[in-house]
Amino acid sequence: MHRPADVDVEVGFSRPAGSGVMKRFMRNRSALLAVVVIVLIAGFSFLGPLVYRTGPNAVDPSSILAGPSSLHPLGTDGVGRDVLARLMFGGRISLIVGVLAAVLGVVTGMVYGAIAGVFGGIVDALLMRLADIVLSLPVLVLLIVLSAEFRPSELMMVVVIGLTTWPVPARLVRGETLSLMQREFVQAAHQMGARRGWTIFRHILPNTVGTIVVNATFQVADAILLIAYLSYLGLGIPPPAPTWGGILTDGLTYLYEGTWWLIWAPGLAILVTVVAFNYLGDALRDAFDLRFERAGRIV
Amino acid sequence: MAGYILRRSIQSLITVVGVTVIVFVLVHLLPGGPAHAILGAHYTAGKLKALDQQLGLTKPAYLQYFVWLAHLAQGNLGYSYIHQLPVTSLIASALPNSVLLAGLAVLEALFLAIPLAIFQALRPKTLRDYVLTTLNFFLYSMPVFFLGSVAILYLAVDHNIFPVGGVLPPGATGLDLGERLYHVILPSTTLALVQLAAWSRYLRASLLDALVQDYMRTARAKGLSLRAAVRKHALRNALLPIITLLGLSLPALIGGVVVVESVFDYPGMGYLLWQGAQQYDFPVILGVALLASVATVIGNLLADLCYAIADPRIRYA
Repeated sequence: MHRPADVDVEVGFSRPAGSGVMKRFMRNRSALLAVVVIVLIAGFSFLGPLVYRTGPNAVDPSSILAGPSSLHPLGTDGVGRDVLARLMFGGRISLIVGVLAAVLGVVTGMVYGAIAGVFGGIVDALLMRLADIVLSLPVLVLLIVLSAEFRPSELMMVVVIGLTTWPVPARLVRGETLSLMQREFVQAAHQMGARRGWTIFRHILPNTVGTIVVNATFQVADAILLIAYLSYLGLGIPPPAPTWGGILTDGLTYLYEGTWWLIWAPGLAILVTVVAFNYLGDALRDAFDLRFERAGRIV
Repeated sequence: MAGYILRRSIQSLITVVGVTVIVFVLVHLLPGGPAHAILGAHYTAGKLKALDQQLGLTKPAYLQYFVWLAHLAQGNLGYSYIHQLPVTSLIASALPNSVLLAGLAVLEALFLAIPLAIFQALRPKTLRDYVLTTLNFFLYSMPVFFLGSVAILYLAVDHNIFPVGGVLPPGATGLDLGERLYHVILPSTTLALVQLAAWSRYLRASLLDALVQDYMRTARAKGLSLRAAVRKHALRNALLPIITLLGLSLPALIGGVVVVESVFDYPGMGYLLWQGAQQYDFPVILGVALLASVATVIGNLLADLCYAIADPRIRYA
């Protein structure tokens, strides 16, 4: 559809989606801090191994459960592997799997929610009932059941987390869709004979971009937390893959040896990463001027 | 009111049926189906066929579902492959431990969240408010197992103040409520600390809303002290949505229980699930998952009904 440039700005009470977002975001100093922290964590995980060249699975038999030293800045684990190196490679897993799982969950959820909202009626009722059912299942319990059935590879982890986290974005997008359906430009498109698929992808979803971006950011935080929980429980990506949760499990195994570095190093890594994404989500929500409250923690 | 209760109950019933379908589908997603899982290492094609016949797994899936549902209705959740015991009796011994842990955690979280939220709502945008908000944010993002591990490391191993885990001292049996409480304090406080973050954050916001309402001005104008006005008017109104939030937090609370129990080797439902998942003990896994999900649905229903009782406006919405 061709739109003349001079009617690009909508009149009346509504601003075009996204106006002033960047300005408001840049003004928020703690949001910029969150971005800096995320960039630092990504740099640590992806570029760190180029500088610090110890392998994540290289065993140093002469230092098993050794505390931090110049040779092993963050100490070693129960079989003599370097914790710093494992932390870096564990960061790669957390970030890649976390982001992909969030994207899968959000994309599934937004298409699902938009379909429910645009079709309405019985389709909407059935789809949202299913979303409610999945939402009422404790996510972690569902993930434990699924990972007992398929010991998850990285890819399986993405699928499994995506499959359990879509209902929240689905409900958010459906809510926005219902109100967008009442707006003139959607009604006009409908009058001009636009098919529902066109309406969903051309009119509805582009206008929910704020909700989607904010929710996706929170979903990354949740996914990273879920990955950590599963690897901590020994049900995540199987060893010897270096996962943040897995390093901490080792720390609890050797508790009486006082191996504090095996608990603090991965624990702080997870905490700082999750805090950064949650902070970023909050700041983006303010920048997009959205008002949805999260119901609480995912686990 | 009766109509509302009926409507919500029917909705919940549909959800519970949906949950049983999902759990049933999960059983059948198993590569080779449940018989394969039961046989495990003893698997041969011949044995599989025989067991499939015996368990009725050659019938159509919907028939199997109803057979399974009939067993379920009689309280039959199957036998644990590992423990060689009925799943119901495993659950019966684990459930009270988890209820104690989760119940205590919720009480502790509310006990801490309410004063914290009041304190912050009365001094919004001051340094103390910002510090507490930031602390809250960190707790909100905290992995439960990290907090639990740190607690064990310093309070149980280094300083022997609390036991490292379990519900009773090794070898002990019986009710011994004192020992049980002593053992549950560390795990329940860990769980409470991560749960309270979301609640106090929410409560602070809803208190801030309540504080500027007309009824607060009226209360102050008729001579009530700020303290009394907050307690009698603002807090009462601000606490209402917490009922719903409690219901919505149930999935997270149950997830938290699973992890905390595994950190503290605390033999409850979560520990059962965790052990079951590591040993591929599918009847146990599915039994616990089913119960956890049904508990969530019922909890949400109860929360909604309590809310409707507490706030008459909702019934006519």
